[in-house]
Amino acid sequence: MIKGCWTVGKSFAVMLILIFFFASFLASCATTGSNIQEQWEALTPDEQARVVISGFQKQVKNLLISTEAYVTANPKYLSNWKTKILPSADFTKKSLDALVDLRTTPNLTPDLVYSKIQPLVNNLILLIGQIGAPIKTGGKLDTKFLT
Amino acid sequence: MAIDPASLTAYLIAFNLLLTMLKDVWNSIEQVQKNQEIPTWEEIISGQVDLGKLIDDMIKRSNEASETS
Repeated sequence: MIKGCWTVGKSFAVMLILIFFFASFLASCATTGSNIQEQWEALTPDEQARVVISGFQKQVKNLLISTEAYVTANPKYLSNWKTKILPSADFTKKSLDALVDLRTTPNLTPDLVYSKIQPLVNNLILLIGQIGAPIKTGGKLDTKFLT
Repeated sequence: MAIDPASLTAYLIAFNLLLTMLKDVWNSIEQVQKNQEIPTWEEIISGQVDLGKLIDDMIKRSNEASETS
């Protein structure tokens, strides 16, 4: 009886410790997440646009590098790569160029960048997905704007 | 609801590994936050030039591959 109580008590204590650790981790996640949001909102539209454009640049670059490696290993997709994926990436890059040209005007906002570029990147991802290549966007939250 | 010592040890080790992994991920995010800054327009323009060059090189390589195949 005593041994049984001791075992149950020990299990309960272990559960409490695990819950405590996990709750601490969740609390620290929530605090940092809130800080990221606050710091993002503290940036000017120009700074936000720079962060977003830089993120898209990296995303397109990572997609192209990983897909070229895939196509090299699977030459049967060379035609898709040459006639669909590369032209799509080139168009996305040129659209980014057009947005960068707006940098001295008040017209450039992160919303504009998203609305113009995200559909193009989605299309690029779709074309890459159609040949079965792995999608490597490096798409983690770009937090380099945070100090 | 008895747990034998071997299972308990295994659970604790697994949970500790999980926490360590989460901590590493979190530390790397915090490191990024501390060390990096907002890209300047010069850096973005330079990135555009690099991206254009990358695409041009890829187009060139794909044309060469088409010719040889």
